[in-house]
Amino acid sequence: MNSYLESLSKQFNHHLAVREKRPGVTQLFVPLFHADGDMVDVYLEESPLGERYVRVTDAGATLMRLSYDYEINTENKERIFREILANSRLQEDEGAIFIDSTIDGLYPAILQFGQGVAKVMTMRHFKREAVAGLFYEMVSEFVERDLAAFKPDEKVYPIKGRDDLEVDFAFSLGARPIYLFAVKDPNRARLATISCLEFQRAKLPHRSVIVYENMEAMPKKDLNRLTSAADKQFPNLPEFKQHARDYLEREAG
Amino acid sequence: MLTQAEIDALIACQKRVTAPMKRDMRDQNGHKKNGFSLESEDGRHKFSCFIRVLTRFPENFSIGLTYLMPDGGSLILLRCNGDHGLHQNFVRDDRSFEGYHIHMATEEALELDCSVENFAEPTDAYASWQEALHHFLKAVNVVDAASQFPMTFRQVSILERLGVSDEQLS
Repeated sequence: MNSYLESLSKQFNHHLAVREKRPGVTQLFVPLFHADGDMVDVYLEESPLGERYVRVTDAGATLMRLSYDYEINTENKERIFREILANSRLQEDEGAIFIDSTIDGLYPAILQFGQGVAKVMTMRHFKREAVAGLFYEMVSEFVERDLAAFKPDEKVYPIKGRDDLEVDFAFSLGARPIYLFAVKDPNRARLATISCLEFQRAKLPHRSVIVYENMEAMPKKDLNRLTSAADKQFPNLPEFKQHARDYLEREAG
Repeated sequence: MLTQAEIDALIACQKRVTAPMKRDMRDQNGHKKNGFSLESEDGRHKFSCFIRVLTRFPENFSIGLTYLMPDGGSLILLRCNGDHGLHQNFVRDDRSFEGYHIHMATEEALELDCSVENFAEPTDAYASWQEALHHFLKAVNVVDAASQFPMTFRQVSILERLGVSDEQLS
C-alpha cells in the first residue's frame, strides 16, 4: 500500500499527510472538514477482502461526533441512517463507517467516503417536514435531555394488567405523578382520552399532560374529548419546550 | 441571536449539577458516552454536558457544554477536544493545527450560520479525557464540581503529588 501513497498524495494535489495511528492503522490528513472545522477522520487499515484491498474507515468517529447533539435512537432515525449509508455505498460495523476499496481506487473511495460521512452529519439538521414521523422522537429527545433532572420513566403502564393504557413518559414528582402523552393524530388523541378516563375511573392519583404536534390541526370532537379528560395541554412542541421545565418545577412544589 | 458577551457570560457563570453523570461510561456505536446536567446559580439558564471517548483511539474525545435555550433550541458553547487530527478555523482567523484543542462558540460563527463552535484554540491543559473533564469543570465554573466529581479531582490530586504543578494542570 505504501507505494500508492505517493500516487494518492499527487491525486490530492500534495495536500495530504500521513501518520501512523497504531501499528497497521494509518491516519490520512486530507482537506475534508466537518462544519466545526475538525478534519474528517480517515484511517486506512487492512481489509478482510484481501491484500488487494484497503479499508477506509472512521473508526467510529462520525457517529461519536453526531452524538454530541443528535442520537440515532429510534427506528425512524436508524432507517434514515441506513438509507444514507446505502446511497453512499458505505457500510457500518460496530459504529465504524467504512468502505473497502482496491488500492487503485483509493482516491475516489476516500472522496466518496468523505461525502457519505458529511451526509450522515447532516442528520442533525433535518427539518421536520423532510422526515416523517419524528414528532415522538423529538418529544423523547427533549424529555430525556432537557427534563432529565425530573427523572422521567418511558413507556409506563399505570394500571396493572392494562398494557393497552400506555403513558409515553411518567414523572414521579410527589404524591401525584405526571403522565405525559405525545399526541400527533386523532388515533393517538383517542387512546390518550381513554387512558386518562380509565386512570380517573381507577382513582389513580395523577395529573395527565398532553403535548400536541399541532393542537389546531386536531379534529374538533377529538380535541374536545381530550380537553375534558386531561389536566394540562401544550398546543405544540415549541410551547412544551418553552414551558415544560417551569411546569414540572411547580408540580414538584 | 446571542452576542459574544452573552456567550462568554453563559460559559463563565457559576453553575451547579442538577443531574450527575452516571458512574460508568456506556458503550455505544464504537464510543463511550456519559453526560450530566447543569443549571446556573440564579436558576435562569440550563445546560447539558456530554462526554464522548472513541473506543479505538481514546485520545480522540470531546467534552462539551450545551446551552438549552428557552425556545427549545440548543447551542454548544464550549467543547474540549482530544487529539484527533487537524482542525481548521473558519472564523476569526485561518489557523490550522493538530493536537488537543478547545472549541468555543463565537458571535461571528452565529452570524455566518456555520457551526457555532468552529473557532478553536490549541491547548496543553490536558492529555486525557479525565484531565479534560477537570479542566472543563473549572472552565465552565461548576461550583460543586469537587463533590460531584470526586474521582476526577482525586486523579488530579494524585498528579499533583507526582509533582505536576497546578499551573501545568490548568
